[in-house]
Formats: sequence, structure tokens, C-alpha cells
Amino acid sequence: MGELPQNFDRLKASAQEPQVETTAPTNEAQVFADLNEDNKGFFAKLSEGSKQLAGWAYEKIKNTPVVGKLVGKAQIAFHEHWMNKHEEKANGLKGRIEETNAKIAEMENSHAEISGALEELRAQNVPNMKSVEEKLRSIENNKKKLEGTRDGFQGKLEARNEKMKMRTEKRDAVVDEFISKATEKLDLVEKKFEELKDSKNQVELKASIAEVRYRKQIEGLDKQQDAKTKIENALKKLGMTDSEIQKDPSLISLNTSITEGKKAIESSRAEMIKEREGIDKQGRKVEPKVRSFKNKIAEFQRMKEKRPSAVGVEEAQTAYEDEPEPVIESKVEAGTEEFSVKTFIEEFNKFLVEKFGNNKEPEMIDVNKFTEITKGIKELAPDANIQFDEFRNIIPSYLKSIGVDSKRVKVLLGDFYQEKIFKPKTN
Amino acid sequence: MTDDQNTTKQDLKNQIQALMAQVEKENQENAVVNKQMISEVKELKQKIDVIGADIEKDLNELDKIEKETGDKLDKIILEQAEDAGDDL
Repeated sequence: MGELPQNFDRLKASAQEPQVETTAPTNEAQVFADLNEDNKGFFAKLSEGSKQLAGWAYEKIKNTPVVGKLVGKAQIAFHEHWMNKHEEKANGLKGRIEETNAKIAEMENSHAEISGALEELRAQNVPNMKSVEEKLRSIENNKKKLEGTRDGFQGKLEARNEKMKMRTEKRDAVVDEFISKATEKLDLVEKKFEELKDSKNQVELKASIAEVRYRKQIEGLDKQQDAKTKIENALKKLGMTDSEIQKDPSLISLNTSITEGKKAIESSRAEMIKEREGIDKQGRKVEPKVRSFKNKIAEFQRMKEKRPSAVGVEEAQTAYEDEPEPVIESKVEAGTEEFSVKTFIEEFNKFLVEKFGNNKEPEMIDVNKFTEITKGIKELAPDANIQFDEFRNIIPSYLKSIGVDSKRVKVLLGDFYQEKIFKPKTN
Repeated sequence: MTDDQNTTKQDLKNQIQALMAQVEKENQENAVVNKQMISEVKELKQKIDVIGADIEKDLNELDKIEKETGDKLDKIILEQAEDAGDDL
């Protein structure tokens, strides 16, 4: 006899469980809508009773949000209803076997009694025992028939148990295969996503550094513009008229160079902004999708391990509502005063130590590491002056580029400025 | 215009020339640096696009795995319905 399912003996308990309503008319269109062609064909061949059960199953799945359909299907595949039905039928067969065995036992008793009586009669030489002998043969024949019937039930029971075992193994194999394939693919996606994030962080850092450069370049040309104005004023004092100055070829040429230079910087800045904006789209779908698949894998594992089934199809969806923790923006508006990069870093580190009482916060900036990363960029050399806004833009990108993905760094930088903990030493 | 004034005016013209040279030098340097920065970012962006497309492919494969698993589970559900609904 095939091995009985693990919870075969739970029949009595299951009798107290809510009964699944299977008498409602089957909404075949609804069932069909979610099946592929093979399964549609399979469904069409089912008995009416089986179709009703399938209808019950798909009615439940239908109410599952699209994102959780797979988990919904797995929950139905794992639903104890199927096991209960199996137990019900298996117990029916067991009952018939027992009933038949009881009849066989009765016959054996009768046979033994009649045989005993026959022996006694033969010992007393009573003639003509044929009818008694026929009775015994009839009992033997009936017993054989009953044994055949019982063996038939036994065979059905074994076949049913074997089928159930096979279904369970098949179901577990499907779940295992999903867990294995999805995990392997997710590992790959996560690895690539890290690479993607790393490149995005580098773009962010480069764009932030570029912004410092653009400002410095514009400032450089502004200084030349001031020098030009001073020369023009000196020429006016020497008697040149505005009209003469405006027509002076050298000054026209100088003016054009300054204007063109600024235009070129603005054009580069616009291109940089465009390039930077473009990268936001990349990988946007990855995190929610990875999270969703991880939830599915976790659900599948939980179902397989048969942990307490709070498997309400609806309940399982809560996991999908998780959103990544938002990056908190700071609304602090900073002035345009400049301080050296080194001063900003040292003062920000001091602020962190005072705020958290330790020097282990991940946002702490190692000057040497910062200098190494920004090596060759003279605008970010330790003694180069930058504005707070530039420092505020560069630090989150810098931290990301060294693997520190801080959600609070922008707020910390805002607090650092706002609380006026920052008291730079003048050079 | 006196000689002194002429000298001063010439000095100023020379200053304009020097300023011009300085501006042109800065413009050239800025152009080189800016071109380099844009080129570096474009290169990174290309890399990002390639990885992004690759990831997109993996995500589609995940969808395919999900669809195939869904179909297999459908079959299991229907088979279970068949077993549960058949006669003793």
C-alpha cells in the first residue's frame, strides 16, 4: 500500500474546518481567462464536479491583485481543501475495506462453525452431508468474491494515495524550480544593478564636480569682464566717447570672446544636466521588481515549509506595498560664502561627532579618501574654495561612490549649515 | 591729447590685448576640460544604458519564469480539482 499523506489522520479535525462552497455555478469564462491553451483543454475534459472545484479555486485567484497572482495560485495549489477532499475519499474507501473485512470475518466464523459441526456429524457417521458441504463451498465462494471486492477498494485506495503523493511532489517541484530559477536570476540582476548604481553614482559625482567647475569658469570670465570695464572707464577719462569705445575693434573682440566663453560654459552645463537627467530612468523598475520576486520566493518557501497558514491570499499582498525608504531632502537655503574643501570636511565631521557622540557615523568623511577620489580636480583640492551648496551636492554623490548610501545625509548637511555649528576659521 | 595721455592710452590698449589673450586661454582651457567631463559622463551613460538593457532582459526572463510557473500551478490546481471531483 502506498504511503499515506502526512496528515491523513486529520479527517476528524478537518470536519470542523469551514467547508468550501462548491455548489455555485462554475464561471467557466473566468476560469478560462487565466489558463493557457493546454490547461484550457484539460479543464474542458473535467467532470462537472471537478469543474465546480476548479471554479472555486479560480474565483479565489480572481480576487488576487495582479501582482500577487502567482502567490495566489500557489496558495490555492497548497490549499488544505484538496487534502481534505482526498482524505474524505480515502476514508470512504477505508470504510468500505473495513466493512468488507468485517463481512469476510463473519463468513470465516460461519465457515469455522459449520466446518466444526460437519466434522462432528461425520464422526457420528451421519449420512448425506452434501447440503452442508455445499453451504461451506458457497461461503468460500462468497468470501472469495468479497476478498476480490476488498482488494479492488484497496487498489483504489493505493492508487489514490499514490496519485496524491505524486501531485504533492509535482507541486513541490514546481515551487522548488521557481525558487531556484528566480533566485539565480535575481542574484544576477542585483549584481548588475549594483554595477549600474555604481556608474550612476559616478555620473552624479562627476556632474556635481562639473557644477563647481562651471561656476568657477563663469567667475573667471566675470573677473575679466570687470577688468574690461575698468579699462573702458579709464579710456573714457582719457576722452574717448561711449560710441568710440563701442566701436573699438579690440574691445569688440574681447567682449565677443567673453560672451562666447560664457555661452560655451552654459551650453556644456545644459548638456551635463541633460545627460544627468537621462540616467534617472535607468534601473527604476529594478528595485520594486526584485522586492516583489523576493516576496514571492519567501511566500513559496513558507508554503513549502508548511509554516502556520495565515495564507489568506489577500494578506500576502501586504508585502508588495513596501516602498524603498525615501531620501529625505533638506530645504535649507545656503548663502554663497566660500570656504576651503578641507574646512568644510573637518567642520562637518566635527558636527557629526557633536551630534551623535561618536566618530563612527557612516557619513564621516575621510579627507585622504576624498582627496584620492577627487585627485586631479583642482576645484576640489583640499585648499580650493567652494560654496556650501556645492559641498552639499558633492557629498551625497561622493558617499555613494564609496558605497555609503545614506538617506539622511542631505538633512545632516542642512542641519550642519542651519545650526551654525559651522564656524570656519578665516585664512 | 598730450604725450602722456597717448602713452596711457597705448598702455590701456596693451592691457586689452593681454586681457584678450587671457580670455582666449581660459576659453580654450575651459573647452578642453568641459569636453572631457561631458565625454566621461557620456561614456558612463553608455555603460549604464548597456547594463540597463541587460537588466531589462533579465527582468523579462523573470516574467517568463513567473508565467511558466503560473501555468504549471494552473495545471496542478486543475489536476487537484480533477482528483477531488472524481468518483470514488
